[in-house]
Amino acid sequence: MRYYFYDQNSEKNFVDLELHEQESGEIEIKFNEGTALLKKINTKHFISFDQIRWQRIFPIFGDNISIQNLNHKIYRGYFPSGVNQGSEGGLISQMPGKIVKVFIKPGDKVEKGDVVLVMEAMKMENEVKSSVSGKVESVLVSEGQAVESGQVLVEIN
Amino acid sequence: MNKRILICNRGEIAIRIAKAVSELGGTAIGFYTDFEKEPAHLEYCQEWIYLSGTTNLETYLNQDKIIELAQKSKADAIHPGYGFLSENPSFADKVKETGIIFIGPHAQAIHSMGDKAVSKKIAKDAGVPVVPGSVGKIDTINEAKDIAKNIAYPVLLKAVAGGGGKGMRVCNNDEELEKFFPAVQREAKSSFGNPDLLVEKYIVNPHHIEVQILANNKGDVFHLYERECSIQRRHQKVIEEAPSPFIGSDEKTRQNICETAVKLARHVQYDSAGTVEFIMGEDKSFYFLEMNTRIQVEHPITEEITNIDLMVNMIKSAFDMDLDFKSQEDIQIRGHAIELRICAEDSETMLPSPGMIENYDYELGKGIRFDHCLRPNREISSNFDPMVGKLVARGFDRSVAIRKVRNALNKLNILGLKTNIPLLKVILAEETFQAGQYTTFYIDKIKPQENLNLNITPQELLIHAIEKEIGLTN
Repeated sequence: MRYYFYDQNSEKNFVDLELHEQESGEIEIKFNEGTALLKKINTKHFISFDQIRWQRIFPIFGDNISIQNLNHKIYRGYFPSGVNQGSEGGLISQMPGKIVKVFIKPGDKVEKGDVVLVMEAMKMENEVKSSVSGKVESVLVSEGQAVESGQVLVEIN
Repeated sequence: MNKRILICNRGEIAIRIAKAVSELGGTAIGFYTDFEKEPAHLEYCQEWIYLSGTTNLETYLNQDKIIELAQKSKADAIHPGYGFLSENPSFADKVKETGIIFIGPHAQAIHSMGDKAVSKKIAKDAGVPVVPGSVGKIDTINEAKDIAKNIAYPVLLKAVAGGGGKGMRVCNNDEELEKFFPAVQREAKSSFGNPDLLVEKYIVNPHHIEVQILANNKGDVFHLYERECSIQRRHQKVIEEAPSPFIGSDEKTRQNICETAVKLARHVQYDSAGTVEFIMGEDKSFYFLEMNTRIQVEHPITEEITNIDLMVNMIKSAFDMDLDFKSQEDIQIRGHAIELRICAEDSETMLPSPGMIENYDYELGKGIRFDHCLRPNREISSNFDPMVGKLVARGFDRSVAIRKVRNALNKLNILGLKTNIPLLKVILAEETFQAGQYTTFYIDKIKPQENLNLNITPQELLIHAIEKEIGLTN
């Protein structure tokens, strides 16, 4: 699963994680450079990169995170990008608009670059393409629906 | 104490008041509004009242509505906290007319201390030193030179109508005064449309030092020693300490400034909690700035070093009850306390930065106190003050208090919202601060905001991604 970070200056960053629950109840987290372990004790979450030192972490329930004096928006699993150029991705709306057409349904396989939606914004129809290959987890909008900026449209895993 | 107290405030101070009322056995009554339907302070109030409206003017500043609700709820007293209606003499008067007690000083004290020019005159009459200078405007360079000779250089030449650092010049001698006089006059005319100038003593390396007062209706006026609040940005305090590191072990100066504050409070027949603010120069001469006729944000550090509960005693004083202590000798300094104001603000620009609190956590321990109104999933809007909490540490001495407050700050996690925590960390680690040698120019001169750690490591991103994941699946 990919996690996207958008800072207040529109700089993008992402992290890829794979989580595997182990029999012990601990969760193994695989990322590009290695693995970490996530453990819950007394309802509190701790993470370790070396299985020696454990660091407390906190659930984030929304989309906001400030890191070193920079505000970020954080999203999981989809690529939020502009829709007006019909660019790749665009599974989260970047501006208010209306859904004109939906080409996919849950369970569908999509390839990177496939057109999944058509959205009308600023009086122009825009093709919204997937930036990732994967399986459609959920389609959260329907044809004719008006959407706000920042709204999740489709989840692809 | 079987009394009903209506709290006309919100945020951390409303919680602080509610806790004190509850401790005294009274009933705390709190407001909720259309703007803030679930304010944190309701959790600590025994009764809740709906105050309709979506702006501060319709709610916490709505005098008639508040008085109407106070009567309806059969409140014995109103506690205004700080800000909002706390220093509004007409509100204090109106409350009194209804027979409800206003927890604060009598209206005349609020009125006379609220006007800077009037309060300066009253202070002078009471024999309290005010910044020496010309009485009214000066017309000629020679007049300015005469005054400068009297009060000694350096002097500050400034526009009568001035403000915001404009139309001001420091002059170190006659030559500079001659040179700058016409320039400041021109600047005053072009900036404020009024060329009139004042000359007053320039306080070199100034410190903001204030004295806590607690008084009652029986004529008892006590001081609870001083606080130093020299670390400021935009003329607002960020870090406060008690006692003042600048006064240090100079007990003569300490006694002198505290007794001066008591003298002024007596002069205006002060009868509640209040604070007399002074500016102190590098030679430890001090001058009256203003008097705040309310409980102040930074009151906890005084509570920590004196072991006296100011909020409880302020309420007791309003009901003519005996205070927790009997004499000035009962009030002694033990150790050192530091308060950090935790604000929703950008650490670099030091400007408010409203946003969402996604989650938060902190750790208490020996000597640590955190007065706050943080709640998870809570929006900090631009309608209210950006301060969300006050982290206070008390230690055996100043170095212990610094150690404790730094550790507590490291353990304070506020997720989502941008805060001034990164800036506070830089200040607490900085030499001038650690040496206790800062002045009110600290932030302008030392510029701690330029030493912020702005590097975001891949590990931080990874951790936040995991935090997002557990937030989604929890």
